[in-house]
Amino acid sequence: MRRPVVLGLLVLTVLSACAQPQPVGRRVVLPPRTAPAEPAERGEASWSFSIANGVCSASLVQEGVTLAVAAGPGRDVTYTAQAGRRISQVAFRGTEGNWQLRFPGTATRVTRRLDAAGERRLRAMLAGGTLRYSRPGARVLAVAVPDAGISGRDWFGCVSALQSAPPAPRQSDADAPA
Amino acid sequence: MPTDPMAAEPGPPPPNGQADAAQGHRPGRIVRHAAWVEAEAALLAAVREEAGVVALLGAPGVGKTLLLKVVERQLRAAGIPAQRLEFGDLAEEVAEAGAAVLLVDEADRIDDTTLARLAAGGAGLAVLAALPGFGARLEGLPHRVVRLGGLRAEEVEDYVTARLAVLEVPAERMPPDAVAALGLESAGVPQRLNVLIGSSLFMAGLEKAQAVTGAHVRGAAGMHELSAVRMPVLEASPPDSGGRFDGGPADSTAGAELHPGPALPARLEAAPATELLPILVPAASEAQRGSHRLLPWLATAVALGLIGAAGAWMILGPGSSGVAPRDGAGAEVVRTAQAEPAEAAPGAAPASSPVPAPVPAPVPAPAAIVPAEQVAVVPAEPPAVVPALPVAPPARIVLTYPRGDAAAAARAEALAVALRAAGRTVAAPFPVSQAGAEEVLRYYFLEDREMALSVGARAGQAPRAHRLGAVPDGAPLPRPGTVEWALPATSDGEPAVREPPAPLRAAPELTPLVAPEPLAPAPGSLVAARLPLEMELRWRLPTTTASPCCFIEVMGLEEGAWQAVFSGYASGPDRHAVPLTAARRYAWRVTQVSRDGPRYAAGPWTHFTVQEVGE
Repeated sequence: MRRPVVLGLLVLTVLSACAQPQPVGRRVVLPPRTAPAEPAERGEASWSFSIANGVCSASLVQEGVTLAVAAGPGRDVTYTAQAGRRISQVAFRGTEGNWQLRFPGTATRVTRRLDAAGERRLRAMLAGGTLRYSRPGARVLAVAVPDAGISGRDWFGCVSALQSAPPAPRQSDADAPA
Repeated sequence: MPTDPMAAEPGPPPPNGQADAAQGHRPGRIVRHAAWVEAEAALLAAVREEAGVVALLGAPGVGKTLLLKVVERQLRAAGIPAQRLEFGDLAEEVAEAGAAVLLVDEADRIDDTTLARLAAGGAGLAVLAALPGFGARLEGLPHRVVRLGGLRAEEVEDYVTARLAVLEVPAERMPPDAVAALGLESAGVPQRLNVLIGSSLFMAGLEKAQAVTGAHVRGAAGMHELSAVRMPVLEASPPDSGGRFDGGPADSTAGAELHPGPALPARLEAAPATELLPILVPAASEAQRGSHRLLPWLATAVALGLIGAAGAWMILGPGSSGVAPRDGAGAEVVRTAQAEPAEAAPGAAPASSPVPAPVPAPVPAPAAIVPAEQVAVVPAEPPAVVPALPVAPPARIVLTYPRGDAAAAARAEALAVALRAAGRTVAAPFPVSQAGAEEVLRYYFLEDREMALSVGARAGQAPRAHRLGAVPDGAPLPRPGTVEWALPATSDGEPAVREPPAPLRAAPELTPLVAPEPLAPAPGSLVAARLPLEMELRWRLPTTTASPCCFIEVMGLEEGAWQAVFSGYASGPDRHAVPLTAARRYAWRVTQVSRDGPRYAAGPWTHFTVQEVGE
């Protein structure tokens, strides 16, 4: 009778040795692998244009998401973005061109020279496309940009007529074509 | 007052302003005495009846236009499609469109063919407001008549009391003998009564009299020559009123007489100068000129006084007691100003010189947007020479060409040079991805068509095609005066696309536009504030429109020439804050823009001056 008991204990010992050890200390849970979050579509923005004191202003507004462009009085253009929280980058894709604009730190506006590339950037946006607002820790916001039509072309006439002036200090060099 | 205008019943006159407030009107603008309610109810009742013509007949100044506006608002509030036209010669096109109720002012201008068709009921119900003589043209046609007469004699006192209250003038300044004279000399016509009240108060002021006398009223009436035109009003007075003014003929009309609701402007902003000018500057006969040698200077003095008083009414807000109020920041806000008439619009009467008024201490403006009524406003000295401002919106030409088409781009540049040499404002040529197959000149407002044609003619290279450009719904409307000259694709460009036809739009006559009325800052005022300043401009639209409705232009006088300071669509239907960075004289105007048509109507230029104050 002793031999079967010893064998049984031996088998149990071997089996227990093969079992998964109990976790010790803090349990680490890995997040499930998922695809990158789709941008939150915010519909189509609305254009508006005005000219005040030699500054040509345009704005795209859609449900609290705004990109304001102010060109002048010299050959500078300032982009101001607002989307309810910090924006790290605004990227535009359209039929007439693509570009992106980075907002360093907590800045909500950046200023660029209104050179030939700057004019192309504005013309591309006036022709329509999609603006994507990158927000740290939040989903990207995607806003459709309609063709600004005759109003935008008229406004661009204001921009192109701006005379050269001493350049404003650049706030960031992180303005590169996409 | 019931909120449902269709259920409104004639009743006793409500206190001044209450009825208007209940119906969404500006408080104090219209006094609805019993006769007004009666006429209003008669017109609204006619809507329930069969199609055809209802003639609203009355003498000039009796309130036909105002009554039509009120009825229009009430019909629309009740969900009844109503369309009001200010001129009868537009009725033909609108009759084609077939609004349920057509309200036509100055119906005397309707041609006989259209009139017969309206009377036959083919276009629904038409309310035609016209002078009494229009009734003769309706003979032989099916129609109903609602007559508007003057105030009854016993109603004049209440009217004058209400008017004085609105003007914030103590009622004691208009004793019974003056009220009686007002009734007699005005013949109960509200518009004339308004003028006489102001004029007689001014004449009493010249004599430093505490109260107006009958002599003052008669003197004012003699200057305005009102007595010669009072008969038509009395024609419609009810035979049983017992209150006919002396000298008036017996009423020859029978049946349901209706009596007018007098227009009672709350301030000058509610009583445009154009309402008063026809009586302020009448043409005197030779005999009258001979018997009134002192009238010219007196007329000038009274006109100056009225304009000064009008400016004060514009500045004083509702409920103001004449004591300088304080704004939220604790700074004293002084609201004294005198009016400087707006830039003369085509057909407007000439402006008069301003009258000096007390100059208060300037008050620094806060850094945020400064409401127009919360800045120090004092009389401004107009410069000796002020260059003229454009009546029509300045033409702006946008040249477009196919992207990648070098030949078209070169031609666009050459065309821009030629147009600029011809004195045109031309934007930089703009490449577009979808170019048309033909060269075309597009204008975007009906008012710009002639200008667009002249653009091509002066350049000597006029495109053969001209058309009204389409602006998709939701897309921003261009500035009034914008013209697009679209060049076609050539062989080396992107393939041309056939331009789709513009979507059909409602007939432009369906949206008669009336120029906005500038309210603040007061015309001719001086705004003392720290710079830069966010100056709030305010105006009033005669009709409710969808927002954005209005295009704003601000010009600044710099080195003897007007320079564009601001242009753009307003952020609100009745106000917009404009950044001002320099102390100078400014002129601004508001243009009402409608997508129906599309059309626009530019208001008058209004001037003010900004003076910078220190910390």
